[in-house]
Amino acid sequence: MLRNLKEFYYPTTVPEALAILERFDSKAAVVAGGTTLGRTDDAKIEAMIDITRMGLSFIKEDKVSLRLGATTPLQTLAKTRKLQSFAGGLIASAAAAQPSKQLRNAMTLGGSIVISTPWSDMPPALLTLDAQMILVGKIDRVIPAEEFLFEPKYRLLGRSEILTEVRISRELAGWRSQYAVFSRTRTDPAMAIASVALRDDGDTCVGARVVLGGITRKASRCPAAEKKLVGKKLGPSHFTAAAKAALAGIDVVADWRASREYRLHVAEVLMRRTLAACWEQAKGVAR
Amino acid sequence: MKLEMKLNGQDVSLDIAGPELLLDLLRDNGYFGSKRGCENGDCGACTVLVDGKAVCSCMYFAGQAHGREVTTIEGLGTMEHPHPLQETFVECGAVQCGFCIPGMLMSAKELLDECPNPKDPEIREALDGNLCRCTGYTKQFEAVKLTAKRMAEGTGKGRDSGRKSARGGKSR
Ligand SMILES: Cc1cc2nc3c(=O)[nH]c(=O)nc-3n(C[C@H](O)[C@H](O)[C@H](O)COP(=O)(O)OP(=O)(O)OC[C@H]3O[C@@H](n4cnc5c(N)ncnc54)[C@H](O)[C@@H]3O)c2cc1C
Ligand code: FES
Ligand code: FES
Repeated sequence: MLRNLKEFYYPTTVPEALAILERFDSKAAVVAGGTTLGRTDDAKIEAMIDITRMGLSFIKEDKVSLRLGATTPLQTLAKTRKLQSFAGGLIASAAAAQPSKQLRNAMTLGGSIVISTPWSDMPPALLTLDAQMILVGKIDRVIPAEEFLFEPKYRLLGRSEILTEVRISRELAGWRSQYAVFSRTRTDPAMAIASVALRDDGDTCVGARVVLGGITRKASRCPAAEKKLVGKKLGPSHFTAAAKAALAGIDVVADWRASREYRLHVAEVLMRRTLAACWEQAKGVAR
Repeated sequence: MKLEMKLNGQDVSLDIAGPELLLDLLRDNGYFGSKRGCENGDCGACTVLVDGKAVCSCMYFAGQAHGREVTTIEGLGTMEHPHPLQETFVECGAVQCGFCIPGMLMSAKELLDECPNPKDPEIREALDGNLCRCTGYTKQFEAVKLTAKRMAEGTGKGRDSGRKSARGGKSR
């Protein structure tokens, strides 16, 4: 519980929110959906800044990027047509993978990124699409997902900087993708996540992005798996080889949900099936 | 601090200390319809509508509701004038112990407000976050489907008249 929380602020602009953050030093936090913060224990926090009234809930495109506002609810990401088709609907699928409509109505894109647990759903999808994080603070910064996600220093974000939006290159709009989670139940955290995007020129795979999540401390791209796919007319043997390559040498974590061996096994099967499903979809559309 | 919101159609101004969750605030003020199930975002028994969207009030700071419109089960219908959803839930035998029902009804209300003619998967998705230990869900699914049909035909016994709140039942 945030037992010393006494004040709420409702800024309508980003500079206003930053000024409040600065005034409270490290004693204020921003709240978006509140689904994590509501359960957080931190005696330092005295003020909460609600950032959902600053116009940061949007989905739009400019010439180069798809732009997603940081306070856009996951349910909106999951249900918006544009996102259901952009890059094979990867962002919408990852958003829809999180449990229950009630939670998705509250949870925001920004909150999901800042939280970034090993089993989080949005980070692998954003990594697959090389998303850029737009941070506003004393200086404005643009940081690639790869660098941003999981770095402990960013956990302090929201106490001095605000993530305002996520940008994804429109060059990826035509890619096909597949997002798959292996978990005990719909609400249980993932034991393994496979997030893949492929591009083909009819017969041959001309681009591959392969990301594994849920099995190590942080989700990661798998360049060795991508190499097994690009330039080939893909078939079952390639998916098997790529899935093996993705998991080769990875330091899989064990916890009470799954042993190392079990995770390794299901992750490999999940990756193989996900690649196959993605390719079927890619071929179907290209022809 | 003062929290101002529209609660079941009426403007209210309530004192809050700061850290309390919306569920605490509601129950502390006599709105016992929103149930404290898991307090973890899993069961949906605490579901209320905020600006028309179903959220878990156990995962939502009371302060986040400032300036917003909150609807609880007490705002859905009364004993004398139940909401069509409440009628069909009873009629279809969708209620056993009843603990999950207020949350379930709020989720169903969001669905029918947004999508008066839902397809089967949409009904399932809408009720997905409401766990019920008694019924097996089939009758609740059927009740929502029947409500949609009746509301579309205008044949429900009651009508969703958006009536004002009644400080509701006694059960806790
Ligand atoms: C029951 C339950 C099940 C869950 N299951 C899943 C799951 O299956 N997969 C999954 O990935 N996640 C899951 N989660 C975690 C979920 O993703 C996060 O709780 C949620 O997305 C956080 O978003 P929020 O908007 O509610 O964040 P908040 O709780 O509002 O904030 C979270 C943190 O991020 C900071 N923050 C929020 N927005 C910004 C911003 N724009 N700029 C800077 N800082 C910011 C806040 O200060 C805070 O530190 C689950 C959570 C619950 C409660
Ligand atoms: S009490 Fe809120 S989801 Fe269970
Ligand atoms: S009727 Fe008993 S929990 Fe649903």
